[in-house]
Amino acid sequence: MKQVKGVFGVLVCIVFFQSLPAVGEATNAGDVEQKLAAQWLQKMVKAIKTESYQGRSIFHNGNRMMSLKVIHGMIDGEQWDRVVHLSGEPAEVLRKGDKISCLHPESTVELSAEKNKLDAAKIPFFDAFNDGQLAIPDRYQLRMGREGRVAGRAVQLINIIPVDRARYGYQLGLDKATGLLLKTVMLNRKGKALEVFEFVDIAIGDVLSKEDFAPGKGVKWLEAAGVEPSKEGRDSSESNDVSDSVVGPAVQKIGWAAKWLPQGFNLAENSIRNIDGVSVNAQVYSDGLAAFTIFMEKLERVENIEGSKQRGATVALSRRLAKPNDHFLVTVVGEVPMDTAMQVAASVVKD
Amino acid sequence: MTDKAREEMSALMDGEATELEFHRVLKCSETDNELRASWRRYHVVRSVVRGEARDKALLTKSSMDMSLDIATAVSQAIADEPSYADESDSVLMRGNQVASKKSNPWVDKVLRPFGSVAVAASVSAMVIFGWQSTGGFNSQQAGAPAVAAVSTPSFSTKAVSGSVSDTSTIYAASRIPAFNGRTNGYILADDSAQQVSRSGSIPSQDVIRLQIPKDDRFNRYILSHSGNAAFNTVSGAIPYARVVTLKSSSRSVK
Repeated sequence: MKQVKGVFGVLVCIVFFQSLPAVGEATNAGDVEQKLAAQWLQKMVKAIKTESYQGRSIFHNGNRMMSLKVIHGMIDGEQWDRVVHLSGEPAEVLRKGDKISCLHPESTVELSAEKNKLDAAKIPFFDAFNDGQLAIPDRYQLRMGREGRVAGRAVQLINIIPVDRARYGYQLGLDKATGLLLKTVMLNRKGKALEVFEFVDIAIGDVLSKEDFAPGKGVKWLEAAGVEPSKEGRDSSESNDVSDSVVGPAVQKIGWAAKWLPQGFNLAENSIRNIDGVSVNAQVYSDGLAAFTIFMEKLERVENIEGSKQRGATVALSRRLAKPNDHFLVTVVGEVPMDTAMQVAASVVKD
Repeated sequence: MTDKAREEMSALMDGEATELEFHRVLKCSETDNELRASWRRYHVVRSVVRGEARDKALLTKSSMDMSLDIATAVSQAIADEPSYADESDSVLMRGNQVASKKSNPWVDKVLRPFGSVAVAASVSAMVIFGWQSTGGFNSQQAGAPAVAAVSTPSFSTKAVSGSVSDTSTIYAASRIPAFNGRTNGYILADDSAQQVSRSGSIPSQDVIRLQIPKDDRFNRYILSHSGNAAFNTVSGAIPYARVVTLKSSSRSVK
């Protein structure tokens, strides 16, 4: 009976909320499970910093599937990644420590992690693991899943269940031997997979050199704007290179704030970037597993460029502020449900 | 109220009602006072359980004062609406004006239905919005009252029945492009339009279906976000896989 179901749901809610204060006690069987799962996640975070591997994986985002080559290692004490898109448009992503370059056939986009430590709060869960502490994210429940096999290796599945509607759930497949993340499934509230990332083949433990991270053919490699002039003889002002880095403080900061944030999301970064020649203020929020970015941009003229878009787990949503500030455009991009992005965008006000 | 009706209503609240059940509940609710009362009560319970009921004063009053009394709120808003006499730039409005002055039978027959469509559309828009956003989160709603209303847009009677010029809540509702489940294409309420469209009743002619105007802009934002996700979460290589390809045709860097 559906009514019974509904009432049962309410009861479960009540029981759940009442049980929250008891989380601290380790006597609970669920707690033991959470701790065990958290240890696996810690092993995963550690493995990223110690293991090197190269392999191939598939990525499916609901309507498109692509294959990737993934290379990961520690070079000069930094985390280096190279992800080559093997299907569709040629593209490569290179991460060298705090710098990410997205290489495309005709352009390079640089993304850098310039953390504004003054503004940034601790990211729950993520920072704790990086500091070597065991943490259980407070907006998720951790559950040990069954054992499975990915890329021919035995994996332990970990289910990460959100306790509210503001975020998605995850199923992670961690290599039993090393703890490396071999499979990620992002799930919506109804348990539908939004994105699947899974290795099909992986070699762990090979020693990698810098040559392994050299970009391949078919993509353009610009170390920085102007350093390597393009062969067509264009000057640097006409270069296709797009730098998405933080620009100097000369650019005026727009005073604004999001008045509503889903619980557990903390400010991870607050910067002014140059996106497509426009200076944009970006605030990044993360709950350790999911992240969203709020971009604030001043429009040259008032125009109707509002809209939303969803691909896989990523949503992008633009809206202009209410009059008289309707020449400011707020864009929320992130791996959160559309409702969350909408509520965040709707809560943004200018000072 | 029959058990069946109650069951269907419960299913509707859980988002599990079929199309048929949905319509039956709507139909029943026209005549069944008890059903309407239960509907409201259930929502009150749910708001309380989820901790959405921010205003404690509301709870102490009778449940009639709680939110989601959309019908009353909409009637109130319509009653408060200024007459169309000042507006002259819309064919529909002129039509209504003519209709109300001369009571021309032809105009009555042809244009009135459009008027009711506009009202009906506005009601359904609000119902849909209210419905979608009933899943409010356990939030940190410490902002100003107006902001709180926006952040958990279960319309409170007060906010909706306020004067038409007080549009903060409703404005937000009509201005956020509705996501209609497709990858591109969305409903946009033209907010350069007049007061009427901003008061929450979206006249049907103002609802335009558009393609995403600046796909390029979106892609750049998504790209920029991918890096953030990579640096600030434990999600492994997924953010690199999500990276979008910027087409050469959409380059606008000069």
